[in-house]
Amino acid sequence: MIHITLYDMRCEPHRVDKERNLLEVAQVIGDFRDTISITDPIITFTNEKLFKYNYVFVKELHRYYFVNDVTILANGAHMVTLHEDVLYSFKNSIKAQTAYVDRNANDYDDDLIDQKIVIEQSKQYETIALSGSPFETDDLTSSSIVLESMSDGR
Amino acid sequence: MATKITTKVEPNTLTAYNQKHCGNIALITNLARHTSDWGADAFFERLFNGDASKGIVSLTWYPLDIKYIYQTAGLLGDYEAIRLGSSTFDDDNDDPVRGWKMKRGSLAFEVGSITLQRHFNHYLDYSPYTRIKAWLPYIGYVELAPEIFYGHEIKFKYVIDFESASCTCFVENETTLLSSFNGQIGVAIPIGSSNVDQRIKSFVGGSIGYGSGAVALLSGVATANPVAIAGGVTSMINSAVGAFSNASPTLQGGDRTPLNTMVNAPQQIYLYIERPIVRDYGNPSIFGKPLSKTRVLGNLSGYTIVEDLHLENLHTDQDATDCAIQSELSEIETLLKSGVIL
Repeated sequence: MIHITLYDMRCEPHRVDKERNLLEVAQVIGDFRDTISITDPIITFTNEKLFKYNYVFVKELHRYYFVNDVTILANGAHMVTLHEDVLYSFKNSIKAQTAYVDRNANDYDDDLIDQKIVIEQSKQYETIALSGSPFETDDLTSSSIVLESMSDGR
Repeated sequence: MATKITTKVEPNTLTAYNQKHCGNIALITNLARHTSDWGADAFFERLFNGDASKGIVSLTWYPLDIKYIYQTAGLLGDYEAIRLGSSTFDDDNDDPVRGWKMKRGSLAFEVGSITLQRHFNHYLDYSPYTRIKAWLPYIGYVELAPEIFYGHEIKFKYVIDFESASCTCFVENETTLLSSFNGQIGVAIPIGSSNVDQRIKSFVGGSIGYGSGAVALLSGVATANPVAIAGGVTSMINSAVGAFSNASPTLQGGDRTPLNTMVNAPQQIYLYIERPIVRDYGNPSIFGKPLSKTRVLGNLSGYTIVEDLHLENLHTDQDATDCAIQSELSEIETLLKSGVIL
């Protein structure tokens, strides 16, 4: 006999903390199906809320699981194939880890090359003229002649 | 520390005997009139005095108001009669031809400055994604690193060496000289002792070719390179020194053909900026953005991809003594490296 909490999980599977995204559907009593894997157990229980849950917590295993598949048995019981949600099951331990982080949504450095930015083969161009040039612009009227000469110094 | 261009520190090549004067185009016509008015007696007199062959060292056209920039720099001398050898020469009104005395043989002045803001505010603002080329009058196109412009006022300073008619553009910011580029700015109007020597021969032979008209004033003009005559400056100088041409049948050209083309090119500094076109900046909430730093995962939020980590001391949230097995550790590591939402 195991204690199972059925949830409607309303978030991305790869979200670590799903606390605010789990809607409890029911708490039921069930059993393991034959021998079990701790990461991919198969459980059975009787419940009328078919299609109302996609996520479960198995109290005796201390772990959360995604519902991979549900089989309706002849007696009306549900045989549910699970896969462990290691992210939520070890949420606090994961958050305590120190890691070398490649990318993040909020803490980042824009000056690093980002292959996710898609640029086109073509280019855009801008021309900026600097004002204040003393060189001739139009009619050559302000050009100059320089005469270097030798003289008697008088 | 001398990390910038500081002007006015130069050997002054000008003396009481060797001087430079600047003026407008009338200097040429007056000079032409001066020589063409020489009769044989006067010519030989000046020759034997050494005036004719040595009085005029060089005559150069520049595409800017030299008087103004010298005046601005405080290096403009008096407006005085120009002496060639031991005498002055007169204009149409029989007044001595004057010019503004230049106190230095070279001068530095600012041609433009600019501060650019970053366009993308990320790595695309830098090369090789963004490229900046600068058009420098009388030098040409040069490429500059985009990063030198961001957050700094970049100044373009020209130094003209009136001895060689060359110019150098120094690119610098508030504290540092960043780069320099060389060019040629003055158009040498050919005149020199060899020409006078030829005139001597003409005089002696009695066949001086006044009015011949078939004179190559500048290299390429009406001789080797017809393209050169397209330059406005060429035709202008040609016209202005027409009288001089007639008086000096053997004037030879200098080597300034590219410069004639430069005169027709833009006379301001232009920046020509090439930037990529971004199709999609990427959504940070979906893809994240590059961080490449070590962080405690609990201090981050949102989409996160871990490059590497050493998983340790993992226990389930429900039971602190319930440790993770190997397959769980492997899956956690795989998920963190493929991307999770914290």
